[in-house]
Amino acid sequence: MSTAPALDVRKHVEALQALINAAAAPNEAYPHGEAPGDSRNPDVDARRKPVPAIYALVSVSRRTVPTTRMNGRPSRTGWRVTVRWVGTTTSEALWLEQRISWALEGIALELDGLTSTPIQHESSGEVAPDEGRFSGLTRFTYAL
Amino acid sequence: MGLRVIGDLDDLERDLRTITRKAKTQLPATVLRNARRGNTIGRRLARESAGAHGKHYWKAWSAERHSPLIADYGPDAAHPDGQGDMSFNDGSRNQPAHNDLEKSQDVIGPAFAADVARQAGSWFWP
Repeated sequence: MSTAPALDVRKHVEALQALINAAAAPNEAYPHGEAPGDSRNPDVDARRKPVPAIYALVSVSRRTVPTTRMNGRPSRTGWRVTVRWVGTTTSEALWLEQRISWALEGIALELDGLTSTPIQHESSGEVAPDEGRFSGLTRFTYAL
Repeated sequence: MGLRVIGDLDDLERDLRTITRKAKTQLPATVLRNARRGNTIGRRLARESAGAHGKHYWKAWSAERHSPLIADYGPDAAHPDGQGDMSFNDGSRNQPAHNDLEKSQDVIGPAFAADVARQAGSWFWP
């Protein structure tokens, strides 16, 4: 069994969604494909709803952390968060970008009884037209 | 059998004098080598993740040197294949970001740092 901590990505996504939802209320964050009005949403009722004016899409993936110890058993995990902020105008999208930065940067997550390193900003993309909306991407990293 | 190595301040002084010459010739090669390695890693990731829709995307990846100690790599928007923009790497609201560039940086970042440290270590005798 892996010795690496906090491997359940769903817990990471839930924790990050909660932080963004609190900072951007009443707008919400969703995993990719699970926003209301998304034709790929597994929830048929949600699929028929209109796409929200302002919303965020969160995804988390594990990063490569080179093992430095001789035995090669990982005791830490590194994570990368990408958040896409979407609005009907550039101003709405950029407002959400700011809210997301406020909500996440410097915050430590509590997962599996462990406290993560503070979430660090990695990179930001410019706001750009995105299939009838405007959106951009911010990346963050942290480790547990 | 034992080996005794004795160095004195003259040796250190000689090392410090030769380092300015060695660094100038060796470090640019280290920078370019690591940019090329990073490009190879990122390009392979890109080829895997882009799928049929972006089957030429990986060809738009390149590494280039800007000045002796500055090089970059990644998808080139001006590439003739026309698939060098960042929409694969960054995704959109209908597609999560592939993060090929960031994943390659996770690998090449520590390797580059170790390469430079090894290089600097080699400048001191023994």
